[in-house]
Amino acid sequence: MSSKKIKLAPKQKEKLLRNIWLLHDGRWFLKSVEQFGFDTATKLNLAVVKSIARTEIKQLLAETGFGEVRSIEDLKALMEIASLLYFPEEHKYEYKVLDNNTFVGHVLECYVHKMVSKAGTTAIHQCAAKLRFDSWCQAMGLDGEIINEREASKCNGTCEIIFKIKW
Amino acid sequence: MHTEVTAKMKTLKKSELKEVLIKNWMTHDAMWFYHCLQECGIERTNKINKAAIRSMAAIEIRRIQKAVGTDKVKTFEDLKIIVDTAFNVLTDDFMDFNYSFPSENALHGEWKNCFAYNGVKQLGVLDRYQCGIMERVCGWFDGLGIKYSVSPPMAGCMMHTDGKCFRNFTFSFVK
Repeated sequence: MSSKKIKLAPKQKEKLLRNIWLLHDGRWFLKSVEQFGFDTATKLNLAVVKSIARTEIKQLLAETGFGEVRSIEDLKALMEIASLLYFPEEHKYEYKVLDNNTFVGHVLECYVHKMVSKAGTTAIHQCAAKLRFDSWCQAMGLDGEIINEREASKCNGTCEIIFKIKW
Repeated sequence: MHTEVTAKMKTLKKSELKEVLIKNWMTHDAMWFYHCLQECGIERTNKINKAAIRSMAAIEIRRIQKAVGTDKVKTFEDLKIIVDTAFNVLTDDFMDFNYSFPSENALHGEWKNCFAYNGVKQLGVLDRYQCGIMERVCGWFDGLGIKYSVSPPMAGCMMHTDGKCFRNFTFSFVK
């Protein structure tokens, strides 16, 4: 260890970890595009999202001791916790319970859309949000359907993601 | 139920939050490795993995450098601060390694039980796996523009070939 001590605040550490995780994911995608082209890289990205999404929810459930998700209110609570943890601060959204079986996420400013716009690939980008939330629901042991009708090429960074859950 | 859980989340220890973030990050990385391996085999997967790590490592170490407020790495002491902070922020106990600065201009790292080794072993490609951990550490020093040598100079998995893993880095800072 060095003799001089630099102490980063927990918030600074958390910010660095979250940012570098996203950066690392982005680099995998870019390097895959270079090697295989956009279509295969997209296919890989969607496969990766599907599998990591299950893990991230299972880890969160275990760490918080959440137990079973038994109601739409439980789902909302878990979604809020998971989103705070796994989405970057610049991702703006609102969650709303419509009825006992319906939960809606309104994405107001999408962080993925921002990055994809910067890269100039919105026209060919395939949004992974539905897949990610499908996997989240599976990891929560829920029987339901995720509906996201807007195409990534036309979403302009906003969309409505509907969770229809059978209890 | 949900209010209790939300309250519990707020009281999650910093170390638990860090563990969740780092474990999920490393799992995400492993998923990329796995799916690339399925798509194109180990040779190209090694190439993509190392390229992704290289470019990520250069940026992450500059962010650490910025966070600790060291504009330029002029001395070994400057480097030690950055390395200490990088290991403190970016690694967690499950990675099961330790490091030391045994003398001026020297960094020694050794791994007791490498998580990358364990993961790649499950995929059955250890004999051809090129180590991403060392690529990351070397990417830090290259990103900082520092001259160094590393011993032993190997690209494959030392844990696989030797049953243990270590590296000695030597720098050339003038005191």
